Amino acid sequence: MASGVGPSALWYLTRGTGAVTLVLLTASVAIGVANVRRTQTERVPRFVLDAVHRSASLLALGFLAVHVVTSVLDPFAPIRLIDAVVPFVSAYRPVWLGLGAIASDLLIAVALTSVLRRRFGHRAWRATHWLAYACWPVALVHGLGTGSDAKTSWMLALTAGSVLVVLAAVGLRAAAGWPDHIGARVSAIAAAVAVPIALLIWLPTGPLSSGWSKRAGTPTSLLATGTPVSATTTSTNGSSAGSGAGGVAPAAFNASVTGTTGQSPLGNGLVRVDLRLALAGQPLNASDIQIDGQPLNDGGVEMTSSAVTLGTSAKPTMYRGRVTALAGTSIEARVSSTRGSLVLLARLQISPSSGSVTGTLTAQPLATH
Amino acid sequence: MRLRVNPVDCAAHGICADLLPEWIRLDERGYPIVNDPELPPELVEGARRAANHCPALALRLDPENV
Repeated sequence: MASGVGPSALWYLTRGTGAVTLVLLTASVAIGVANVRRTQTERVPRFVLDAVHRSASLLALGFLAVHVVTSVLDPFAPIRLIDAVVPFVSAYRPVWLGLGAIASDLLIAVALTSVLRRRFGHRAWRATHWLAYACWPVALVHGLGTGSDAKTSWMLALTAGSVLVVLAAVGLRAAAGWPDHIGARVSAIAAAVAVPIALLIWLPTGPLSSGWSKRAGTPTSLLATGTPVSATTTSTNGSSAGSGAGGVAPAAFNASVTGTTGQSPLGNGLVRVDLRLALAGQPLNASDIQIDGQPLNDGGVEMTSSAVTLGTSAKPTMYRGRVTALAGTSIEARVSSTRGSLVLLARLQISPSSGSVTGTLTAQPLATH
Repeated sequence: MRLRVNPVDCAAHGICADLLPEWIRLDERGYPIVNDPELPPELVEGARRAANHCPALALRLDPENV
């Protein structure tokens, strides 16, 4: 990828504004939950909390705008403006980015109906305002799922603090409010109990697990200039046309792979992640995937360049090419030789402790000319 | 300008009395009592703010003769 601004300025702005947006949303939701029914103290009159609720929400909208625009402008992650509006269509982490799009849509709907409250009428405004209760947890999970800082202790503390603040607000409200909405009361308390438990179950196996983003150096945050990885499928199994060294013509195959991974510094702050793979039962039995890039805090790498080879153990560089798409530990690559081109899709499990790699690799001949 | 409370919509949040204490006080149950629907001109700005901040949209500020 071109040098230019690199992953720094815009990407950091995306991350920073994301965190600030979460804080503002949390403040707004907590005040909204706690304040609806006559919560006031001697020192804090009701209209102050109401004003803070409004200001925090509008500020959140502003930070969200910067969050979205910088993530789109950032050249490293292939995020389009439409990915910020329409959920689950992104090539980049579709699920986790999609949650962000949902939260953003909900926030816009809530804010818009609030600003035009008199036009919509109280009932419509109030019904729409309930969407805020969906917006906040979705935004929180979006941050955990795709946030580059999700594993850092300060971001975890910020997230945990946000959950606690909203839980406290729900507790206050349940204790004091809703004289006539027992159903809402019960479901709110149930949700308040269920969401943190779900988070606690999900986090260790999801974002906090080494397989989620660390993966011993396989990139987490990446770029994809090719097609989404799901586009590649395999047709034949274990067969390969041609035989013997030099006679290997491109044909579809699907092989289980084992291998090792290592990470080495390249100087100027970049690292190289090297995946050396052995393919079981294939004439083409050796593949090497090199990914160069900027190391991330969470152990991943922001890919700036790559090199992929496929061949036999005697002639390992029969095919050469590069990575075209990355999604988690799914790596799509395109390699070519004089005999033709192959699209490779590797689905890998990487053990960060031992550096060992297992998984599958499928190859599809690329129709050319 | 006329300042009126819709008693059906009002949920006794009490924000209006915080924002316009010159003209609105709360009864013992927290519902607003408007001093006089006919609002003196110098209070119109404050009344507009109070109406905008009413969570239930129960406080209405209307032009005369409506």
